[in-house]
Amino acid sequence: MQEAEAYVREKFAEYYRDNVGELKPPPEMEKREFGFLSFEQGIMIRHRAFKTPTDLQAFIKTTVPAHVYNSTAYYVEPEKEMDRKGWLGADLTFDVDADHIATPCKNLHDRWTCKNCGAKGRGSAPMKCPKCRGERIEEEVWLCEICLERAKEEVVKLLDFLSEDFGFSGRDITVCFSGHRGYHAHLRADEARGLNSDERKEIVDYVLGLGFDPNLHMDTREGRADLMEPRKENLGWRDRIHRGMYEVLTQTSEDELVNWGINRRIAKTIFQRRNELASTWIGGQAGPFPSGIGPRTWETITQKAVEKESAKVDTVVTTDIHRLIRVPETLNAKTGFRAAEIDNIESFDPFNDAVAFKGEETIHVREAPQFSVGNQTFGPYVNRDVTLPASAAVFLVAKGKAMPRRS
Amino acid sequence: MLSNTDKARYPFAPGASKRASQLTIDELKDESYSKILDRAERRLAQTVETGSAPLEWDDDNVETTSFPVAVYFATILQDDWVKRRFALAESKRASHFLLKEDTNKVIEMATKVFNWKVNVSQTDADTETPVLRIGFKNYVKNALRIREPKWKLTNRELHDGFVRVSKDEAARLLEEEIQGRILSRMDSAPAEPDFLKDRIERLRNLVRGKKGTGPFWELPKTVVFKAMPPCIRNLYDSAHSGKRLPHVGRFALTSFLVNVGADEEDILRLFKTGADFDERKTRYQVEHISGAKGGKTKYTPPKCTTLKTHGLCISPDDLCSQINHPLSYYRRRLRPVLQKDRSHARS
Repeated sequence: MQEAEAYVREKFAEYYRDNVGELKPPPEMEKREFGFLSFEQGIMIRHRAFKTPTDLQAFIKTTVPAHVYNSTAYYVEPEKEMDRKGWLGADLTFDVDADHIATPCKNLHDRWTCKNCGAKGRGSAPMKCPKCRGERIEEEVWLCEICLERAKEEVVKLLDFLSEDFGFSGRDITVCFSGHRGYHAHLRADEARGLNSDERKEIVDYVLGLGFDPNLHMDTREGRADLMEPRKENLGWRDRIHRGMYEVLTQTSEDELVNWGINRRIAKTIFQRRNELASTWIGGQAGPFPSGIGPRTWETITQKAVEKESAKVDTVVTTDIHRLIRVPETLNAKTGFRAAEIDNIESFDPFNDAVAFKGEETIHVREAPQFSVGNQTFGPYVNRDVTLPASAAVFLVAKGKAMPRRS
Repeated sequence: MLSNTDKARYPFAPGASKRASQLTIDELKDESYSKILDRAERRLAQTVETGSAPLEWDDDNVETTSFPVAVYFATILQDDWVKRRFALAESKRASHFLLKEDTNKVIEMATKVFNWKVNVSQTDADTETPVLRIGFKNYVKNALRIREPKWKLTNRELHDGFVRVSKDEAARLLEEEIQGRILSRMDSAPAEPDFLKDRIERLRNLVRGKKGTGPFWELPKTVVFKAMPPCIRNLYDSAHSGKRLPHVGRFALTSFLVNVGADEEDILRLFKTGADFDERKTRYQVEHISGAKGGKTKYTPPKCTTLKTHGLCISPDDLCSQINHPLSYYRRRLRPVLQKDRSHARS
């Protein structure tokens, strides 16, 4: 084991020794498969089952895994191989991750290296290396408040979809921090349990706004964009699109419109008359709209409104009915944070509410951008010894930015 | 409550045929059942021949009881094509009647026969008909099988777990539900009793004659790259240049390739350039997908809608709008190619 890994493992061992008793396994734990990723060479242990919380806690305490997972599914015999487990149903699970969201701060804290020519850059990794056109690119990501805040907004939108549109009760939904760059929402309701993968896919498509067809919601012929069937209640996406259009129209500059492929003259008209246009959207009233704004333009703008209103969830996690997902309140070895259960998503602050370790630690930081834990701001650091709150120290070591100092 | 005519129209409803539910196979031998057996045979035969079930009948009771017997015949034939054709034809037959029913009848079918969650609220001022909403789970399960964009949940009015539908739309969704129910009734493989031998043989010949007329050709033994759909081509090119594919993409590509005749070594070679190539792991995955390991089932690639969800549907072309599975695309692209080859060989 590498020195850094050994350090993180030691910290995990201390944490689990003192706190494992508070670990609450998911409901009906005896019907679930558990999986563990070990610190030693990243070995995955799968197909484990536990009858009681005590059994699971004892296992975690003895083995000190880097990551702890449970199946979102319920099985007759969870310890058998996949084909013989006997699937009984699964929680409806969502993963919202900053990886899927474009944030401006990624340019400050994310890096990439081309494995082919060695070129380096900042921000999200490009599809192809701009230098050698190679496609083998390694990414190094950081988590920051801005990214997590954006992910949070997606969670808030998701929760709104689940309760307003799908009618699920908030009591059936548990939201957890992933321990790294995102959040998980676990929905446990009879109504959702038996859904197959295709049916879950339809739910994912809905929250992503995938397949939204503007022509079915409005009349885009002859440059008009009024509702096809004006009703008192405009529910579902038809309602969201109104809000989205309003925001897009009032918040987009002329240049941005042009960047979306809209002709400069039309972009100018839209921008100049944005408030008037936006209020007709909110009112759900028919035009008349300025001539020249044709169906293509409206479709472009609608697509932006869909992007704004949709909740960016990972498509694989929700549709995979045999998925393993991190057990709430266990530690994430990528950061040392707890996958904390969240009561109030709006006020949740991972750098404060998901910390696991107490006390202070001195480490040698190679390089780290500025970051905050709790109310304190640290860094940036380059090549120096620093004494930090233990959680911040473990975080930097786990992220590969620092090394433990031999005392 | 269902009247006798209702029962004849919707014979799949639980309790529609008291007589049939208590019936044993041996009783069918009795002379008094010959009319029912005849009708059941006719029902299935016409479906096989024309693709649609008879819409008229003389005796309600015979019509009702002949349905489970026809299901029984179709099950004995043990032919998936027959099962699908029969379930489709019978569900279309039911839908033909449902579309003529009033809203209350449609609601009754949905709630009483299929246990759907249905919410009926006050009359819509514009149309003067009750506003119908059905539980999203019932909606999704059935609407999923219909391709038009207007059935996509994203394009519906969904609120508080209910989807607003018109009466005719509810009938259309019921049709899908009925088809599924009928299909699920034909799962078992019953023995073929002697006294039904002649009838079954006649049906079997009919099926043979009908199926035998379709064009028959085999896929070429090696992969034809220019017939690949854009999504698979894109994945292939990415893998080829050593780019890391998401798991779904890897699965789609591998399962596609094993289904069009690529051998495992070729597939392994394709992934070899990848940054994260692990021969042992990749070999295991490829063998698993091709059915050589594990479940022994050969996996088929995900269908178009699934690829769309995962963002793998890249630059679809004209043919894409006519198919719903990447393998159908491949087959369709190859059909004219093959025909051209054949004509070439002849000249």
